[in-house]
Amino acid sequence: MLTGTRVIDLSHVISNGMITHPWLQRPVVNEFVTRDQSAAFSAAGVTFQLEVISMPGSTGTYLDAPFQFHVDGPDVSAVPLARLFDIPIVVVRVPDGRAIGAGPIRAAGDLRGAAVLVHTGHSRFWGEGAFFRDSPYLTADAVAELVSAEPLVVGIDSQNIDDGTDKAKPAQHRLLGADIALLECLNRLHEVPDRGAWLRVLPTPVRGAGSFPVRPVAVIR
Amino acid sequence: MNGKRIVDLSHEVYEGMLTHPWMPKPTVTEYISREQSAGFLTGGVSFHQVQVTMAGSTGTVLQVPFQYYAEGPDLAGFPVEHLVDVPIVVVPAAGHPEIPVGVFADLGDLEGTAVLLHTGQDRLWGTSDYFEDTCFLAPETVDYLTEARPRVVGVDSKNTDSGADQGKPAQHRLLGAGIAVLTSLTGLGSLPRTGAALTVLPVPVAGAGSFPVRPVAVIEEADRKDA
Repeated sequence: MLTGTRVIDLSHVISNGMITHPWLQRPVVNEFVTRDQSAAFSAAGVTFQLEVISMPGSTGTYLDAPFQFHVDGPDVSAVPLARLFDIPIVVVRVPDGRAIGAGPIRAAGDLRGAAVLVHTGHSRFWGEGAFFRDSPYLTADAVAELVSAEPLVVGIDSQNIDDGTDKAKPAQHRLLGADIALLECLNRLHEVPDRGAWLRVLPTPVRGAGSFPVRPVAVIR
Repeated sequence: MNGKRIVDLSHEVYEGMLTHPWMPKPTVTEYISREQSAGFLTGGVSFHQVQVTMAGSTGTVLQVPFQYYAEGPDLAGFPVEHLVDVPIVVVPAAGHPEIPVGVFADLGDLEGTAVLLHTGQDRLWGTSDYFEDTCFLAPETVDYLTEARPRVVGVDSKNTDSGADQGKPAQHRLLGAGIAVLTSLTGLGSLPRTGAALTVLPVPVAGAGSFPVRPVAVIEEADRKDA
């Protein structure tokens, strides 16, 4: 890391058996080769552990690629890295908002080419049942405003960028349809300045996955 | 905007690929299909959800101390700021099944860098030859690197250690020195010897010592005359 650079980790930790989504299977971190097992065939004093990890794509803090909602869109391995790396961040603060409308988006100014990260504060409930209740989301009006503003990435620190009861999923369907990558369940947006930080996301290149857990960071130089 | 080139140093992960002869192959299963989701959504909207199951050592892999040391940091605990903008030193290391310490002759101070050993073995990726006769670090090379204190050591072959050496000196000692290890890199041939910067952002899985990653090298383009 270069001197004077600050890195803010925008992810939540994933651990075996934790609930990260109310109706998806919980992640499994399974010791495939244990330390005791490896000791049996390694030289004296050397042991290691190998894991097999099983999880749905939408576990922890995750990236949605267009393929999740659009079969012809790029999956997490095919979204060009130029759209995910060193993208100027604009934080839109909607403290304890619920149905987020177009107003706060419009008030944020020019969003073209930006990573628009919606800070609701809901991430403080991570790991509790409250995270899955009353989760803030973008309304169809906010989505329309974002589509016309042409950002590269839209993210939110709540459980779902859409209203869980809205069967049309306007945020995911339309933003992904406009080739805008999404980040859900972000963390620590309170540490990120309104403007001036840069987003980096480097998804594991899993072919055929529309969403996958990531470690997004905000870099401040 | 100033020019910058992003070089992807990873291999893709896909259903059924060979990870390692004795490890389970990854599965990418349709957990919720598009047809299934269309049934409970409206207006022609559908999505799919996958369930991915894989060994930590699949594809291009980051190893952190926890893999060899129960008390060492795991993927969630290893400081991510140590994996951002690390100055890269590419070290040509082709033609040596056992990479000798001599490859570091004439290289300067490696402290705080990402030392990426370019063996060219990535050309065998996707064939069973990739797992045969893989290049690895000689014990003196491990000694040298442990002393030199780079932040990251990477190779474009399967393993930093010989499969036949049950002492696993490279992994045991480099990870023991707090140095992160990258294996199965690709694309090192397109990097300058120095001047690029490495960023790796591993998924923060608690209790895991290795995981497939998407390392990149960023090369700032030279200042233009008219700038």
